Amino acid sequence: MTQQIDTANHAEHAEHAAEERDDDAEIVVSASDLSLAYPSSDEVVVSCETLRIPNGEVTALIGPNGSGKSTLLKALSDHLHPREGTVRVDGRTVREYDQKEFARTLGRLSQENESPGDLSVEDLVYHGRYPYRGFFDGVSDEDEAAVERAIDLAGVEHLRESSVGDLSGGQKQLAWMAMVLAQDTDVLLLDEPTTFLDLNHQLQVMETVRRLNRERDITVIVVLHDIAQAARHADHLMALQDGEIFARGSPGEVVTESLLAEVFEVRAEVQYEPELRIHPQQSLTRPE
Amino acid sequence: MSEVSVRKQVSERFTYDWISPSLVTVVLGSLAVLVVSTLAQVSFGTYQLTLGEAWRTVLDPSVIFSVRAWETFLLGRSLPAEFGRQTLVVWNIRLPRILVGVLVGANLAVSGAIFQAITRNELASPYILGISQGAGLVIIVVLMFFPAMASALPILASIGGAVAFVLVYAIAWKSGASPVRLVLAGVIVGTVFGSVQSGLFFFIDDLATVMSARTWMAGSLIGKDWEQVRLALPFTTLALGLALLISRQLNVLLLGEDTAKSLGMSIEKVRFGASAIGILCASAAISVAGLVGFVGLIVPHMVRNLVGSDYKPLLIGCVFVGPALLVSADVGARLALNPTQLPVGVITGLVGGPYFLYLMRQKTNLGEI
Repeated sequence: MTQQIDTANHAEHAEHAAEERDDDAEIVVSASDLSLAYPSSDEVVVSCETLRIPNGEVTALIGPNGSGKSTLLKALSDHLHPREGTVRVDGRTVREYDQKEFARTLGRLSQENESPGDLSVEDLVYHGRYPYRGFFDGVSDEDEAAVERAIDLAGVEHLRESSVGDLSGGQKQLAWMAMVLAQDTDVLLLDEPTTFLDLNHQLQVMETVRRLNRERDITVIVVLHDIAQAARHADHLMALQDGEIFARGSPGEVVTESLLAEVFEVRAEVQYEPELRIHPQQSLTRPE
Repeated sequence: MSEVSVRKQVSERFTYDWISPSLVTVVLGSLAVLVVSTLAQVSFGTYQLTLGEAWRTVLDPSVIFSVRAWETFLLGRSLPAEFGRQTLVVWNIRLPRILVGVLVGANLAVSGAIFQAITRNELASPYILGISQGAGLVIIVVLMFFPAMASALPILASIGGAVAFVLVYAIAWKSGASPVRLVLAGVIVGTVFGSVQSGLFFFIDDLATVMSARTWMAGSLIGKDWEQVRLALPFTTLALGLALLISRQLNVLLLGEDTAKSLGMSIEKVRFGASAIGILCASAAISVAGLVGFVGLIVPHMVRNLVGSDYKPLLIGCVFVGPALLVSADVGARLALNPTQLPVGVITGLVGGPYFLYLMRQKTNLGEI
């Protein structure tokens, strides 16, 4: 009899453990009780209790200007020390990682990037291999293969020999994208990669993101300005307002007329069929 | 062609990619300038030689292949008795001065290039960032009060340079150090350290010492011989070697702090290490030649215009162009107003000032690399 209970107990335990493991495997980046502020001021810019980014999916952060999207991204990529709380990547806190090891796990492309104007696109992409190379190491076959793959994925083969300084804004963004791709990370953070780009390059960037996610199973966290774009390309949306997560879920769940009114202060009609579309009507903030 | 061999070719092409025709031109051009300057420097002067005599003495196999002679030059043994007057003038007076010029030029140019990468600022150079004055103050103090410690001069000078650089950075820092703030802070610190140096002169009673101190402040190669070569050579070899080793790190620094950190670089460590190398380069130069201005600023700039911003060819270019500029300037300094010799710093200042002006007018946003 006791034997039976034991077995039952054991099974229950195992089941529970499996559930937990499953849960962990699905979440790649997480944070708890996060409170973010910049060193120069006391004002807390972002605070959120739990943040869980599902593995292998595209998560888009949306929200009005100053809602803390970029700040949150900086904290996730260890560019900003959280005032409170911890960020975990693959179950380990960010502090536990060696710097280069972290750069092999998580890559981040910031909003604006600068480089010497005469740097060639190929050389720029090779810099993406920095976390794989020792202090004195040359270029390995593996580095070369990763660079070729990244150039191919970002679609910048025709720009390979061009100088970064001669490229248009959109081409530049794709070149930088290729550099981050050469980092060969499991997680990719992109801070407004499509802002300032023309429509064609916006689509190229988002298609690259999609391709990465599908073909290489990379988890992408992307800050987007354009809600419609976010709804179209992301699996998950997170809407931020005043540094707090206001809503999260699938695009259909998050993008609602009431959210647009409350978070973005616009009156808009949302059309769900045949695909999600937003028709903005008017601003709800009146000029004083 | 099989795929493997194509791959190998691609790989080799990339590895030696930085050896561009422009770099080869820069190196050969600099060597040509050096050779011409050397010949001029060796043959002209109070003891006149024809170009042919100068050439033959410089290439004299009985000196070049004499172990005994090199022991004298590099280890400081007494002069071999068999040296003739001509050999003495060329090998013991004129050639070492050129060699010191080569070392100083290379050091200053590389130091400037390193600081331009660390600060991501084309205006940076050891002189402008106050490092030269910091190192200079220590050198004056050592020479005046602790002459026995002169053999460790480059190291002591480095400490002074490092203190000055830390001060400059601390003053310029306001959530990041912008190019303009750095330059301003450098001018402030440099001026203060320079004033202390000038003040110290008033405590020197001996007129000859004052004169030599003045020459030193202007940056001069007058009277430099093998002793200075022996002093600067080890530190130069070390510092230049290290500088070439960190060229890729400097390239990544040029992508900006944000990107470098995203790529997993320990920015503080790399900055610290690179600064130490840059300061050592500058100090090695300053401790033998004094405060030679503008070389560290304009040489990296000229080389960047010619070979591009990749630090591997850039640093190699600096190692050749720096000496060419300094040695040819010293020919002018020594022979232009013969028999009066000018400090070479006067010539580099006269050439460098207008070049800097030209830069200011050429570029709209001067400063950012």
